[in-house]
Amino acid sequence: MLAFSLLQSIKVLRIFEHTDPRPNRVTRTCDVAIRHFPMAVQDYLKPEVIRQISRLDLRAQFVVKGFLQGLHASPYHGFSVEFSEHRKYSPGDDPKDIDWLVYAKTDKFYVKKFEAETNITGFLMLDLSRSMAYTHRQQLSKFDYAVCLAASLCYLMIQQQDPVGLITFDERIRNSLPPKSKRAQLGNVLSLLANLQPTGKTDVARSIGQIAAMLRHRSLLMIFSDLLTDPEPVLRGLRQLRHGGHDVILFHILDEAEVSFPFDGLVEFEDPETGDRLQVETNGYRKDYLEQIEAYRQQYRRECFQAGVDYVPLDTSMQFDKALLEYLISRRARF
Amino acid sequence: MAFVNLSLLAGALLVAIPIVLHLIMRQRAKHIIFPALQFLQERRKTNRRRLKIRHWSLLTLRCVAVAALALFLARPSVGSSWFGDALLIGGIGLLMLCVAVLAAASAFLRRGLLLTGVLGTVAFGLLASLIGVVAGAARSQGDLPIGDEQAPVAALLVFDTAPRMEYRRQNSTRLEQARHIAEWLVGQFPADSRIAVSDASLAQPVFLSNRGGTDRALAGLRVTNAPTPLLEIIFSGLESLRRQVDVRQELYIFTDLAAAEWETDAAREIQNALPVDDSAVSVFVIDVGVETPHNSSLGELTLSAERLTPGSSLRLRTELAHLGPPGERGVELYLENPDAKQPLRVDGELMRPGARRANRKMFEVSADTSHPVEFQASFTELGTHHGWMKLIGSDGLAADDIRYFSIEIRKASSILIVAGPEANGRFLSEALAPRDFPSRFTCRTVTVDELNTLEDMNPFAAICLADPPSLPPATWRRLADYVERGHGLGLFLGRNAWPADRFNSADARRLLPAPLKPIVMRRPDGDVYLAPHHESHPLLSVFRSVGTAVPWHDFPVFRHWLVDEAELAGQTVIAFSNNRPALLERQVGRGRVLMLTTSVSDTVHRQEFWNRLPTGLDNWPFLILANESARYLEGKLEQRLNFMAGEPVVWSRNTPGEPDRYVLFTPDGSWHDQHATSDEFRIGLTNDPGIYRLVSADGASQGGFSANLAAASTDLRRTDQNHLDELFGSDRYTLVRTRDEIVRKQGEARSGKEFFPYLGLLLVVVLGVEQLLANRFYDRVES
Repeated sequence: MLAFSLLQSIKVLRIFEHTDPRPNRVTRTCDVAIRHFPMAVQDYLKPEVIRQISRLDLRAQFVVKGFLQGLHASPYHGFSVEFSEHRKYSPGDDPKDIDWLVYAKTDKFYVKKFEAETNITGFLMLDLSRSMAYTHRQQLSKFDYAVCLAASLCYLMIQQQDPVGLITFDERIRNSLPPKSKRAQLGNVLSLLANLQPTGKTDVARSIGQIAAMLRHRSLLMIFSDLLTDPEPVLRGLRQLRHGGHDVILFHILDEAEVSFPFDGLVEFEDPETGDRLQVETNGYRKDYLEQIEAYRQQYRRECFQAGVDYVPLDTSMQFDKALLEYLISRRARF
Repeated sequence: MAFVNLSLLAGALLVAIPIVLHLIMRQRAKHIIFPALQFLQERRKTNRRRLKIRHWSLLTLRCVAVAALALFLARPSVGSSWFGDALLIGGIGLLMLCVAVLAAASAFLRRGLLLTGVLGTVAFGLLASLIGVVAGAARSQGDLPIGDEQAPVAALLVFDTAPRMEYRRQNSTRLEQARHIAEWLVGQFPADSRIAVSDASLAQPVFLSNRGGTDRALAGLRVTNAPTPLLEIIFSGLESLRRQVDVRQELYIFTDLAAAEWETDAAREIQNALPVDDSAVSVFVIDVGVETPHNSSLGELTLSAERLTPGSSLRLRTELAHLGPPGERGVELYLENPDAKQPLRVDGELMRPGARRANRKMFEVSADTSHPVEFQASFTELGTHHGWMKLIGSDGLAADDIRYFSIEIRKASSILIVAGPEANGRFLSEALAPRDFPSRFTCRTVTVDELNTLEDMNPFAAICLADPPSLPPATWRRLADYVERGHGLGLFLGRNAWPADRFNSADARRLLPAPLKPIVMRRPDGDVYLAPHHESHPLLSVFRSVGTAVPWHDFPVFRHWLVDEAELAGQTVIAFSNNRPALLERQVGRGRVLMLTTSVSDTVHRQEFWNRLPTGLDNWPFLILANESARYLEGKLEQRLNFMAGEPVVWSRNTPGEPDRYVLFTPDGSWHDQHATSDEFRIGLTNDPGIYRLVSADGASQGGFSANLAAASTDLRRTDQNHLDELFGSDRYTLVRTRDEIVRKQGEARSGKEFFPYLGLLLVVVLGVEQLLANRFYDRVES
């Protein structure tokens, strides 16, 4: 049933790809998907999420170029590139890229796709450890939040014909999708993620190491994880990625409860991954915990800055679209 | 330890509630999945110890708060002052120490300036309280017996029952107020306490365990118009109180703090009776007076004379005193209408003579002022006249609004003075009937020869022989008959009586109280003078009020006759300072003879004058002696007609032939038979102010007198606490006004210490610290 649903969704997306050049493609895609496959897609693209993405899409029109510029930071655009293929003209494309010879022959607008445009390959790396399935009182779990972020970024990259792939990991790499720039890639990504449940144990460092060994070309790596593990190996892995020339964005996603510690009274906490339990009088621990978590984030911020990794601390109470937009604007300002 | 509300102490069991809650809360832990457990585990060790301390400290504070509340409501006290002080000092010290440790810990651990500051301030405040309690305990060290506060006591209740205690304010007199408080107080005493009631009756107080007897004594309290001074009552009662050994001794003085009682010389004796270092007797002064009394009063009445001749003017003077807001007061003079038929008993009631208002005066009075009030009146009818001065209207104290008086109007008596050869009879005549002054005597001076030829002696009330020579036998016989008929003869012997043997003729000796010796005592140094030893003789009654202040030594006697005392036919009235008889008397028939063995006829110009009695400076003693002698001879001595209430009255029967049975009519309308067994009888029923009337049994003779309250007994002016502090010592007594003050001060004196206020303070401190720490420890999550 789920496979059928996914298949149907792919078909719809492909149909949409060819027949519907409207800008709000993802929105419409989601609308159709919701109508035909409410259970699967709706888990990830809930109405409020869709609203967030659509808003992002609407707002990001002027940002997209900047995002692309920032993301790419490619010096190769516009010179010393090889012609790759034609693609149909989309509103927003640079008119100077239009192949007028093709137009003369066919009366249709096509742009030249250069090798340089496909220099940056993006990889969405989602932590599939069990802790990512946690939420205390928010609508989205950390994994859901990560998926929304990943879907948004995937949509944006695909819109610019940038290939983007997916890698999920817990103790090690579990699943992957090769990077593609086709519009169906979003559906592929969502379809894959729809089948996955965060259940494993965490070993971010090992997974990063595996990915680093896999990648042969410089890529844009977007890591979505709660990083609830020993930070030193993770930081070593991040430095290794940077040493490999990759561009790394680390989205540190925590649940709102993990950030604010809103508990009251005597509570027995249980770690979902290790099963460890601890009974504490929360009011007496709150201050120390908040200090601890802040110090943890500060450590990552400091180390990532030194390593040249973009560190984005997030929690599930933050409005999803605003958080991403703020990050994109800040990244654009730096480039 | 004793408790006012013992049952409320059971509330201390509520201490279990925070303990139970603590246990209950510990058992119920919510289970929550939390991936970021690692961050909690890292701080667990350091937090655990700190949280334990917090939990235990808060639990302890809450338990202490519940226990303090239960104790606070139960109101404990201990039966010993020093033990109570020790307990209090220990408790405050312990609390101060705990708070100081908390403050130090807060400062060391840098738990915030606010927390450290508050704890430090509380610790400092407790230190100051501790110092204050220690100082107070040291000052009030006493040796009160340690024991149960319910142990019986010996209590002496002393009441001021002066007339001023009738002052009425808010529908209650001061004595009623005192009685109400005393009745309540008696009910508060522990069982088996011995209680005595003492008032101005000065009966020896009897300590009774029987409350019924005490209640009757309290119900029988009455104002006494002639009160014994309050301090005298206290001193007398203290002797009985101190004999009540092995129990606490308590003295309660119910007084209106009148200055007339407390600002006297006798008040200085309080410190001897109640030494400051003697704490065996607890003294409570219960003020039942009024701070600002509103009252007008008439002071003591003075008369220009008690006896006047018809047509003479009587002058009456007094003072109108006022306390309270300004206003107008009037004074009226009333004179009784003489009525020989009244008083009269009709159907068991006394009918008194009527009275007319003779005069009225109005005065503008203001606070703490006095005005002299003077009236004049004249009388024509012979006999005893009564009257009174009265304030118009009424005020809080009626007893001081009226003053009574009595006077007698009588014709002047005629005295015959027979002057011997070269004797000056003017001293006697001027003493008895001074020129240009109204007097009760008229005098006629004759020579011895004129006496010998005088046809009728009867018109004269008395005959005085000034330095007579030896008289013819016929004259002596006529004088003897004269005296025997009830008249008087005065012999003032001088040089003319020489030779004594001729003077001592048989006819003379019928009259002489004692024969003369042929010796004239000569004392040129002037060390002999009249020295009356006993002033009980009616002739000397006027000198009683002066006492030893009569300056007889200023009037030396240089010569006097000696008498043969072995043949004394009468008695010595006055002796000289050398114990020789000076003035002798003899009853002859119905009359009297007085003989003075020194002359009163010598002027200072005469050689070897015998004495200075009539010629000395300021010779008022001679004046009185001469008049009293003449009245005694006349048979009508100076009977006082105006007395103080409660003063015993001596009524003399001076006139020969006066009845010996009288009926005394008192101001309250009752009557009493009076029987004279001698020349005088004593009347003790003079407690009430007013007019007393004496009527002879046969109704032929009427007299009377007046009695008034002493001005001091109605003086409402108060003394202040500073004066009492000087008398008693500020720590030796307790001044209270209300029942609550009595209970509290009784409790402190009797049972040492009550912890009610201190437990309240502890409760506030503990609750405050608990609230502060709880807010500090637990940051509540905002929902």
